[in-house]
Amino acid sequence: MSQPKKVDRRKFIYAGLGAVALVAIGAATYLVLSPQLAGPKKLTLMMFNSPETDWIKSMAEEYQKRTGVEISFDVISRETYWDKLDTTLLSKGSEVDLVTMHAPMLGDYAKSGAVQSLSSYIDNKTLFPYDKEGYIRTALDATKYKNEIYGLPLWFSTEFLYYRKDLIKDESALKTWDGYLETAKRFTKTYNPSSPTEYGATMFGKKHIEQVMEWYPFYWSFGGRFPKFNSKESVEATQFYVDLFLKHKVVPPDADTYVWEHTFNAFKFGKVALSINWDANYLANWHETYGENLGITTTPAKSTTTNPAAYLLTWVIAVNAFSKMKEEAFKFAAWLTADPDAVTKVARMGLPVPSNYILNDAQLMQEKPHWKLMVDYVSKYGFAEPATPGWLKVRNILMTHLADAMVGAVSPQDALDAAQKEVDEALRE
Amino acid sequence: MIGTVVIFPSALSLWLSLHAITRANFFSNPPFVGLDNYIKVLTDQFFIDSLRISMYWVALTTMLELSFGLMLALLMNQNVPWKGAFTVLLLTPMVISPVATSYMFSMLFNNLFGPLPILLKNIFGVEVSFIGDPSLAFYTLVLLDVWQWTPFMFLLIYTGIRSLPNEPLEAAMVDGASSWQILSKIKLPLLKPIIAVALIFRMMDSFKTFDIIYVLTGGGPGRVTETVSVYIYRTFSRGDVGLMLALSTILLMVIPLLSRFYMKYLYGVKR
Amino acid sequence: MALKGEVFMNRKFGLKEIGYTILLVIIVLLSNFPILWTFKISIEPVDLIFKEPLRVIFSPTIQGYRVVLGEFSLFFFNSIAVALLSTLLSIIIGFPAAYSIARFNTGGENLSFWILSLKFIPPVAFLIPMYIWISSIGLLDNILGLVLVHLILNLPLTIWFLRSYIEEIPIENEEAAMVDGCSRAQAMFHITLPLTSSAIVATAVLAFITSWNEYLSALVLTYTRAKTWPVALAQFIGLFRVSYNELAAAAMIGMIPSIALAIIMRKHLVRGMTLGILK
Repeated sequence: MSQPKKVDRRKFIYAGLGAVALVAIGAATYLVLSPQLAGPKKLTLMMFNSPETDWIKSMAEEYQKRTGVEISFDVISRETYWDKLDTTLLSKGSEVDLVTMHAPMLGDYAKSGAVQSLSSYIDNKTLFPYDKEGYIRTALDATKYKNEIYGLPLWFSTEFLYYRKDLIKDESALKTWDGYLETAKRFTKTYNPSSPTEYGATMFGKKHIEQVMEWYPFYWSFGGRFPKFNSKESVEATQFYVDLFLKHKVVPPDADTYVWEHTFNAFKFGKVALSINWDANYLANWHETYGENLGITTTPAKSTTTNPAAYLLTWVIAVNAFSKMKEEAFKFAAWLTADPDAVTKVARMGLPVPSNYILNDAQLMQEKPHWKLMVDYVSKYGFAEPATPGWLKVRNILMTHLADAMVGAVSPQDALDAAQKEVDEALRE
Repeated sequence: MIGTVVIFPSALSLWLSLHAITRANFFSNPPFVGLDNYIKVLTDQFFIDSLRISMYWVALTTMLELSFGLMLALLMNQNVPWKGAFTVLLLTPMVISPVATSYMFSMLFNNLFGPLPILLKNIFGVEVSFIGDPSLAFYTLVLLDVWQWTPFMFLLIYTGIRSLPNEPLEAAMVDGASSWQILSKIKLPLLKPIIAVALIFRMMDSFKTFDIIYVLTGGGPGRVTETVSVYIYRTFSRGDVGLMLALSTILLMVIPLLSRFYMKYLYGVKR
Repeated sequence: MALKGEVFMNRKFGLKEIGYTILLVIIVLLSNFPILWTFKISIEPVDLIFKEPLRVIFSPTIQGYRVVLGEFSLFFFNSIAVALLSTLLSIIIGFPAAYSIARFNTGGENLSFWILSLKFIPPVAFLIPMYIWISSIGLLDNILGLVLVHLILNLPLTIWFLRSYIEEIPIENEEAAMVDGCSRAQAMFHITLPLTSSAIVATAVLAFITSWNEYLSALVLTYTRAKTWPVALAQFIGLFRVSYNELAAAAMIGMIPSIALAIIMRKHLVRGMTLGILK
């Protein structure tokens, strides 16, 4: 047993330190909390990590300079964003004022009263001194639930087929899925040892919403139509999709763990020659890396006589119905998406706001050639998810069963049959 | 003093009462469906699968960690120098955040850019997908868990060894017993209580494992690594809040009961 | 470097011992390899990470650390605050609780088992109730809210540990003191407390590390003000410049407090673990 005196002193030191720490932390916490009571108005915007976040952040800085309203960003990692969105909006909390999400998701949140109806705000000239017609009509329609607008269109996205122009001289080979497969094989070292790249293509293989979104163009171009997922065409599309990984192995062997960043890096560092990926990748560095050698085209079609499919995803910015600063929040969102100057500015940085100001800006369209392509493809071959409530769950169901099919645990037919059953139930609710 | 013990259970019961209310489905105005959710959960094949996977996970990780921990402890107990330094260095995996661990390992195992697969390919010409291959992914995660928690077992057992009374050991040596006999007939039996406790601790934590599994594989590929924790999270992600709450209630009530019996048994063994 | 109670066998330092030492070295290297690799990535220029994954010799850069520390120092501070507070509170609450269970057998066997069995439950299970509860008392995105939750996660272990330790301490000391006129509480503070200092330190270190590394609750309960380090770390995934070096830097920084604690407290850790386990 150690001498009591010595131990006592040490105990005192620890206790003393502990008390000091307690007091210090208590004070610090208080300080951190109290500015919200007084001081400049502060909005909180929750987004996920993506190139678009940085662009919007700089716009927020400018907004602060103009109006004094500070906007703080809660940036969540891409994978966990959707869950966090749920808890935040579900809980009727007021920590977050603005959120971003996909247009089809608005239905669910609008139905449960978690997001604020914005129609009345838009009609209010003090809150919305802009031209409503600035928005592209279809984009604005996608934000409606029961005829009320629940979000402002923030940006629209599609998936392109990117390819290495320096390696693939003839784009016509990529017009059909079979051609895509052939090309991918040509660039996979196991088929062609002299290939300059390791593998042919990337896939969003991890069990995640983004896999479902990658799968959509396959599904639609083969003839699948919402909300029927176990049709013959859909099964065929899914079989082709999973075979890329399971049978033909033209993608890296751990592609079933890939999320966006893996596909991004794989293409950027020359490990693959093809990548079906988001439009934002162009500006967020792929163009910088490859310049003229970056090829963009639509995702392939089933055959030379059928059309390819261009998946249109509209992002919206919505106001938390329980926010304590709804009008301020709305003002920022409105400025960002409807003020001609703001829109052009953020577009110049790289954000494709669904606004006519951008479409009509010839110079802008020239600077961002991929947008011209995007508008072109979407108007010719575009399809989007319906804005029905319950769609959130549908995506989730698809995600679960696709993941099973992806690793060969079940056949595409079985996976889709099971999915269809659950989807029907979900949509009935 | 006794009062302080009461704060904590009351917090817990607050939760219990809270979630018993929202037993039914979805966002703000849930319809009441009574025990429907419980039935759905208990008959869900995915849930049963996840139970099976969890059991397997717990068994495998704890057994491996126990074995390795024991071997390490015995090794450290030998006449080797710098024990203090070695001990600390061995403890490092334990103190790292599981999230950081997952990302570290996902980098290490990445087939395109990670050193391990690349080395394997260059040296053996074999392309192995540690996380992507459904038959391997589970074991890779087990490896990760073992890497992270063997130090814990090692620490517990090692401290136990050091506090073993000397007399039996010396007596045995005087009697001419071989070191193997000393080990098996004297040391191990004396260590039984510690091993039992270490096992309990580790089994509890192992069952709860969530971070590394979710971050690295998300329960996949497919569902091979979907343990109960991951399953619960997925239920929540899907928006089936009612189901998830039913699950929580089941766990919160059933587990204390089960573990009571389990621990009584283990403690009986020990005494 | 001898710890108390070490059995010294014959001091011959022969082949067997050298073999064991080498084995230990190999094991230490293997088990620390991922950490060393992460360190390498944290100082490597980003492009090299992907272009030449196996390369070990290059001119290092601290760019990663600069970015991470610049933007994210608040989260580091948050983590420290949460971990410290929850550890301190769990000791302050846990010690008297453990004492009362050990000495008075409060709640009987049932309470003890119930407390321990709480450790079995995956935190995922009470995600939503916890969120609703914390939200209703207005402690979302607040250090104190997170401390509360971590307390609930840490207390079972703390109480259990300390209880076993206290039970080992002969009650005579306290009884003697009380005969001399001390109240129970005084006896507890002046006699039992000093004797359990090692166990307290060991428990505190474990609690701190657990709280520091905790991810799930922090993810759900915090937004911008109280976000902690592991959550911030997860954010680095998906950055379009996919800065693995920043991620690695963040991981390394995250390790520092835990490793530092382990080093400083190692003597207490071992001593404290010993008796705390035996019961």
